[in-house]
Amino acid sequence: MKPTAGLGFKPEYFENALACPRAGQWYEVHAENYMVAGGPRLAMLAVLRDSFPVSVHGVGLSLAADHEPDAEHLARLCEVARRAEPFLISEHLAWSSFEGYALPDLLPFPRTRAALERVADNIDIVQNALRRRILIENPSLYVQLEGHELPEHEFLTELVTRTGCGLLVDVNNVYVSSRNLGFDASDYLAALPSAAIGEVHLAGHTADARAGLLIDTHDAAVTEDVWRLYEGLIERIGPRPTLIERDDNLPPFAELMDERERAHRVLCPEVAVHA
Amino acid sequence: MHDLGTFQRAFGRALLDGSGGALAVTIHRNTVMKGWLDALRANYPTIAQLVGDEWFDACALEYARAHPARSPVLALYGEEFPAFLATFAPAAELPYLPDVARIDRLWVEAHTAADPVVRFAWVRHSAATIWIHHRTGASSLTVDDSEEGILLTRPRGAIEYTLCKS
Repeated sequence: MKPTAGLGFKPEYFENALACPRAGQWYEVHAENYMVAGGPRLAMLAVLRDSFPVSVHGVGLSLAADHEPDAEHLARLCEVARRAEPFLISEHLAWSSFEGYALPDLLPFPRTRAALERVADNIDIVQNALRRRILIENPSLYVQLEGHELPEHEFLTELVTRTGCGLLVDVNNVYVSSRNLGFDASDYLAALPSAAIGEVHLAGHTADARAGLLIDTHDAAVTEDVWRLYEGLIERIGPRPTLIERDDNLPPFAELMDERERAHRVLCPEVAVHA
Repeated sequence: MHDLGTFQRAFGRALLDGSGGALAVTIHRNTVMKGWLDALRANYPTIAQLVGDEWFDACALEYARAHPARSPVLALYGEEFPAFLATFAPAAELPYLPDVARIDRLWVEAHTAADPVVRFAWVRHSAATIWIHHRTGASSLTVDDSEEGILLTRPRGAIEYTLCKS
């Protein structure tokens, strides 16, 4: 597929999404929202799949947990993949499960060599179950943990080498982490294995003045700093499927399409984009 | 020292049990609780409508602390919420609340089940009349505190409901 720009899909946007001009448009769905036995959600997914390319983005596999991915949850992901026929499937470098609980967050961990072994094994299990490659997304980090043995870019590079997975680079996450932890976002991006980058995410964040941190809230427009990083990344590595993500404080569909068109112009600067 | 499992048990416990703690823990605890509160509000919209946001959030927070999710599929989160409401002291003055919540839950089940869908509940305190009133936004509401049945079906994609009076 030609690398173009897409939008995160929300049921609230179903009518607008379907009415959208087709050229290059694609949608990303959160896998967990379609892990149900039947009904209107699955009907919506089927219509979307028949009309546009779809990517599936999981948030619940907990790949960095100290245990294998839950077999039932993995089976549900396989079922969503069967239904959605996605051109990409992605998950996160994070954990969310412990003692049988499933926390709705993407949690950090000390990037040790032992953790690398564990995450690589878990990615193997998932890719074998799906019988295809998945992309792994870099996290948003808020506080420096003790005990890291590898920098994040090296940890991700090792995962690519060991498992053959690809990377989903969330440029907003890189920016948020770089500001919160104090590193250079451009250096980080330059250190990633560019051939492995299969998708890019762009989203907005919120400044928490009291905590003095940027929070990855997905509730606002993409900021200019993040656009500049994105433009630099694409100029260097070439076009990649790029997603505008908005999960909260949903604006009119047209506002998201404006951001989507901006990403499209970065990806295809030589082509005039129709209104 | 930095064993993954040891770290995650400590971090996870700090999220679920604590109230203060390091900044990172607070940020993640807020995200976790917001995820569960948003899911409960989505799955129990009639309860949120009946009691208002502030009351609902306080109640949902207590529920989430007592019943952390065991599945990442939040579309189905809150199975024990009706039973929780029946024991929740501030809800004692609203005796119809647990039964209205049962119908909200029934709706979630009917919305996500495989074909064919038939769900029925027998409720007290005119809970079915109250539920239908809030779902349809009808202007007048007459309740007589009676026992009622409600039947949910999904014949053509959308959920349909029928009130059954004794």
